[in-house]
Amino acid sequence: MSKSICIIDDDYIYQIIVKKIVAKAGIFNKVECFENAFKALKELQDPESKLPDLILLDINMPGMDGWEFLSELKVNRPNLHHETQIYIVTSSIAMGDRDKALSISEVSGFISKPLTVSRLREIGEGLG
Amino acid sequence: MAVYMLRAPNAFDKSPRFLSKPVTIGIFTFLFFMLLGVFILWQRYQILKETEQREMTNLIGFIENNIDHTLRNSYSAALSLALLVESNGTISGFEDVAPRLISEYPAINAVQMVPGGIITHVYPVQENESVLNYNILEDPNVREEALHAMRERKMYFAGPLELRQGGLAVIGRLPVFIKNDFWGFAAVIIKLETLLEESGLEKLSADKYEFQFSKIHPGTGEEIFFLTPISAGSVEYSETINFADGDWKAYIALKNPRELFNSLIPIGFFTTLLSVFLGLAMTNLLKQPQKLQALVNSQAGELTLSEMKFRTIFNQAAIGMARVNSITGMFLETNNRFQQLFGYTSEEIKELSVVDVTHPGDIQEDHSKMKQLRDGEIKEFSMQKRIKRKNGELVWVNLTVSPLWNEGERPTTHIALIEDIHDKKMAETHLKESYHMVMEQNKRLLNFSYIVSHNLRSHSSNIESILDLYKHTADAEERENYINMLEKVSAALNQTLFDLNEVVSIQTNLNLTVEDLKVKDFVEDTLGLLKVQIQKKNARISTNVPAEMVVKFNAAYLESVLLNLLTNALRYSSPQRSPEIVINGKKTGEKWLLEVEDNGIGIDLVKNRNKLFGLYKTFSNHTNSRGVGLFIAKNQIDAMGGRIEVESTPGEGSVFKVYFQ
Repeated sequence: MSKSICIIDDDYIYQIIVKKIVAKAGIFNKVECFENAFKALKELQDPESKLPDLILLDINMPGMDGWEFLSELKVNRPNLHHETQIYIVTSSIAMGDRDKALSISEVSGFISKPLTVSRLREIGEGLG
Repeated sequence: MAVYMLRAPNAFDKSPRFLSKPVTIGIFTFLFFMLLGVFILWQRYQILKETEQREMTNLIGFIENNIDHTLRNSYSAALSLALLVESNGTISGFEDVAPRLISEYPAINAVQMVPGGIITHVYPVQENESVLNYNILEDPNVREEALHAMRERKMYFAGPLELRQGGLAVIGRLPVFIKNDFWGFAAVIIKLETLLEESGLEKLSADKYEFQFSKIHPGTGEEIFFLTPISAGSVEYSETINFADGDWKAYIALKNPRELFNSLIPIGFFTTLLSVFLGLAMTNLLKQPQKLQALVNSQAGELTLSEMKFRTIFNQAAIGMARVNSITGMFLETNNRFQQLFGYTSEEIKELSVVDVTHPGDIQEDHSKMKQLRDGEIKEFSMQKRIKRKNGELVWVNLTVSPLWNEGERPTTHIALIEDIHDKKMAETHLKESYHMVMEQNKRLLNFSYIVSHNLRSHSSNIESILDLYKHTADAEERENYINMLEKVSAALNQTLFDLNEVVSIQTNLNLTVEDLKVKDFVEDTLGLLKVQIQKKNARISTNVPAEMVVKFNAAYLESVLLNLLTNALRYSSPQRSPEIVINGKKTGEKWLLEVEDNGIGIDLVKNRNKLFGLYKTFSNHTNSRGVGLFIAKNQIDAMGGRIEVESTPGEGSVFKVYFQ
């Protein structure tokens, strides 16, 4: 059973770390990273393409932030909620961000950085 | 302000002098009615008395008639007897005539024939036998009266006297002469009892009247009374009859002469009461004007006092007051404070209307509220407005307008109260500004604290993750890799801390040195610093900053702002064309404006206007973007009391405008 994961975060160091953690967790055999939301949107909004099983989305990104990315993505993929699971991953401690994340139906969960191997496994095992 | 000064009315002053003495008039009124009453009563009394007298005269006339009738009958009877005397002196037919006379004249009790003074015949004989042969001329009691009749040669009634045969009686004696020689008497005896009975006296009301019957003694002239004496007081109200044939007098008198007077007492009493009442009523009536006058005087006094108080309040009030024509808006009357507030004299301000002294921006509101007031939609109004003083200064005042016309009346004038709230208003504005500034700062600080925590946490979580990975691997190459990553994180953390430090220094530096700076010099210095980048980008720079453009700013801040704006203009240039940057310095009103215009990639302001000057907000994929420059520039400009605005079209370029204070 192959599972794919997509990471959208402008922090280059974090991207490397997440890749290591994904490898250690051993659940996902396909990993894709985007350094900003524009690039991710360009890849993922095509309705014909298959979405990854899990998306880890950062909020604070230059140009287009996580929220904007979500609303843009929904335009072309109205069934986003059934096609993938999206987790907001951020170092923000603002309660507003957490509440906002959980109020969006397409968002499955909220993860405060740092992401750990065990937390990723937990989420990965819960996937269909 | 209307002066409603009431003069004490003079109408009463001109009233007749006596009106001021109601008591006197009252007494006069009383006396007048009393006199009138007494007069009427007296008249009435007179009428009653006359009636009474007339009644008594009638009565006495009636009695006189009756007695006369009896006496005439007696005379007829005596004459009949006299005719019995023959010329030779003998009496013939006495026995036949006498009984007929007695029966014919019931008043006559007895008849006698007295030839030569000796009673020779008497009828009825039975009761009178004792007088036969009695010589009356020898009885001193009767001799005088008998002689009187003889002398007068006519009938004379003697008595009343005690009869020898008993009882009181009068005796009418008719002297008889034969050829001028005295023959004797023909006598008729009438008992007094019978005479009184025939007179009708006894039939009259004994309650009301008293009677008396008297005789003047022919010898002594003394009056002898025969009935119960009349009370002394009654004499005044008496009537008298004289009977010459017998020298009698009959009296009739009111039994109670005071009754007449007494009958008038209740009316008299009532009249007195009425007079007293009318007197008092008149006094009271006349006192009314005096009372009213007193009331008017006291009211006028109070009014004068209140007018004086009002005057004092009006003139000494700390609030400006004016009476204003509600139609034209002209000032009619103003108080000292009002004149002081506006800087005009009382005379000057009368030439002005509300519009002349109101700030143009406030005229509309004033007008519409005045209209509502005139139309009766509102009862009064207050508003804050700016007034123009004579010297052109604008002063904030609180205006309160109250109409001086009553509801339903046509608008006339109104009172305008003007309170100087300039300092208050300025303080309020200042306070609002401060509040706004503090709120903004607070918002910025909060935002800043989130940013700080976010940035530091993102680095710390990276370090944590790397260390975790490092611990769980034995591979030397990989471990070295992690150490390299830690170095990068460390560098990034350093950069973040440097940025934050810069931001904090603006946020906390509240007392910076502010000086007059020549913007042209600073622009030239900044362009010198950026010389390398300008050459590299092949950018064309045109500067239009006038030498006289001097602004109050902190020197380091101005350097920083210019550097940030110019760096951005160079950095976000369009890849399709070489950068063209225009720097303009110009004056807008009182303030200086610096514009930095570029033909770069532009910013989508629809999406990003709110984030543009936020910390760590970047709008391009440019690798050098850190989202700090504009944030710092805005904070520095804000701290100097200026503001920054941006106009931009994506793909065409942007203009950043800095408004200096």
